[in-house]
Amino acid sequence: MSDLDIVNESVNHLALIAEMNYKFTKTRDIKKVLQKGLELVAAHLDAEAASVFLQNDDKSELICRACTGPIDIEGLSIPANEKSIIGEAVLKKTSKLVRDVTKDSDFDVNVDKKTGFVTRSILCAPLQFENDCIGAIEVINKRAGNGLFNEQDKKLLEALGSSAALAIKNARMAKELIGKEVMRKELELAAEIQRGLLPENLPDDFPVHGINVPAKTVSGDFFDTGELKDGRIWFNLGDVSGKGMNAALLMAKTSSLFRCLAKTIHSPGKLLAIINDELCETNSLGMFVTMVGGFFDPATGKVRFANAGHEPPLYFNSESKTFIDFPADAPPLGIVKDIVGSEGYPEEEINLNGDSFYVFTDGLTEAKTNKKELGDKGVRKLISNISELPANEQPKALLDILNSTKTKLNDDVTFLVVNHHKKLLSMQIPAKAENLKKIRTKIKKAVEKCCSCEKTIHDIVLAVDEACQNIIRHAYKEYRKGNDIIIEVSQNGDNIIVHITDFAPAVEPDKIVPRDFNDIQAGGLGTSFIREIMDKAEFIKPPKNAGNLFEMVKKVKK
Amino acid sequence: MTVEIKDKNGTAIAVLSGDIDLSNSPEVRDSLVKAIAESKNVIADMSKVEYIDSSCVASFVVAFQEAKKKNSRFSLAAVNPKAMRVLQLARLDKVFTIHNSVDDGIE
Repeated sequence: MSDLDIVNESVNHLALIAEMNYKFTKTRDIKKVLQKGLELVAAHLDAEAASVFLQNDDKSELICRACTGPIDIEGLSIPANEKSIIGEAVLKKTSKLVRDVTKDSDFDVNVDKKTGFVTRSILCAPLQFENDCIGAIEVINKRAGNGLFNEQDKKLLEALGSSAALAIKNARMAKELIGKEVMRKELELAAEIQRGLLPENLPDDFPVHGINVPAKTVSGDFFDTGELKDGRIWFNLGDVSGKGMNAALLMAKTSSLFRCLAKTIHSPGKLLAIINDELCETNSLGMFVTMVGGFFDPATGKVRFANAGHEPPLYFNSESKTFIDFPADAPPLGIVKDIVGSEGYPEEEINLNGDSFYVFTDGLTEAKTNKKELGDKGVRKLISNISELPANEQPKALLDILNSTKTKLNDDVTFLVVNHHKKLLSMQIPAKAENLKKIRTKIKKAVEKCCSCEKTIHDIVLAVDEACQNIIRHAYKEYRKGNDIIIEVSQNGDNIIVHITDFAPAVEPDKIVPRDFNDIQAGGLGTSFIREIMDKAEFIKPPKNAGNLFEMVKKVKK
Repeated sequence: MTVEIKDKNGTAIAVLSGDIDLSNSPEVRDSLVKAIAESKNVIADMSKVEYIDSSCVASFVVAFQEAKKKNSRFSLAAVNPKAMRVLQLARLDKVFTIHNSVDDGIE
């Protein structure tokens, strides 16, 4: 070949490589890529036949994935050893040019005998990219010239082999990623569904608070709570067997059923029975739900609940520091229809009396600290450590302790607390300055029940005094019969909460401006005192027939 | 409350007692202002006072301002810790003259 011819041929080869690369990047379909590419290569090298062999999953065989030429060998598989030219090319990662088979002792003429094809010249290059060989491409019998392939052809096939290997690799990776992505998106969706069902934005002083910590993306646990029109609170906590999307959907169904039924059915035993029957009717995958569901009346402190096969909930008496547990007397929901009859699941009732009721999943009992399971003892210890806190702080405190002791969670952990605020004082009195002393005396008595710090007691008394003064002076302006103040003091954990209700026209909160300390004008210091003393002091939504409700909260030490 | 005004060596001592809150702070204010009008040195004796609130503080402020106007002296004496706390909350513990005892204020 003259130099010019060589250059021309090289240019043509580069053009082919460029075109192949372009075609490869355009399509993600591996089969199409191979077939098209092979046809182009065969055409360019003017080969009578060509084939591409790719490794199978365990790399033990090489299978023909595309071919051109008179004989269709697609699907043919040969062992991945050096006995064949293709096998040798893959294993040794080098290309082989058998210019003239009649001169090569390794060549096996038996295949030709079977197919009737006469092989004269073979060129084989590995499909490899960055030392990763996934197969080989073979071209047979050059049509032009003397029918024999040359070194130029070999170089071209090597370059094309590289290109093809990269394209196949990319196509495979893309497929895998898409598969992973689809699965990931499904789990994410399930997690979103589940999260959406957990109660949101419960006010701090709501009696029920909980937390859900999934072990993986999707949790099979859930809890829920809400307020009925009459002020009672319903709550539930459940554990669905199984994981993943199926568990999440069953959880969603159970949670929604409870929430809907709780509005009209106030017997927890009957409620769970209805859910059980409903789940049995439509449950097809043999899954079930363990659950504790009940109602709490903040006015009386009573909790009425039923337990369907769930980890026993606990009542903690903060005075005697003892626990009462309530093991389930009935199996989980969704297994057998009508299992408890018309009376429903057995119910229990306890009076919290200012204390708390705890429900949690076995993910908590089975959590491991230093390879040792928490167990009942560990869980009770945890609870007694956090029980002094206000209900809204307890779930997070529990989590903090678990994290700080490097406790390993193998399963979802869900935890719920029902807390009865102890009422320390409730009084109604005419809004007259002469009554302030009486108010101070009663407040002092109430706060002394749960706080021994003299300074704090005096501060709270002062704050209440000032708040009442504001009502007497500004809200009512002029005393008339019926202008009363209602004062309620309650305890939530280590928080003392004071509610002062009046029946004057509603005040606009931004009109209440605390005076600057430097502004020592007569009168008006009261609001500054309140804000300095109390942790929280603000107007909140008053009850229906009232005018204003002022809330003050202060954390106290026992 | 009835505020007793004692005179000792030209100093007027206003003896306050019990709780001073919204119900009686106007009286306290008026008594102090009257005393300041009649004497160059007025001391509020707080030894028998158990509780004060912002309205009481306001009365003291009025007395304080009145004394300033008349170029007289007005001070508090024998303030118990609880009352002191209220004066601190009002940031007036460093503004008012506060004596440990009534005698300290006279001379």
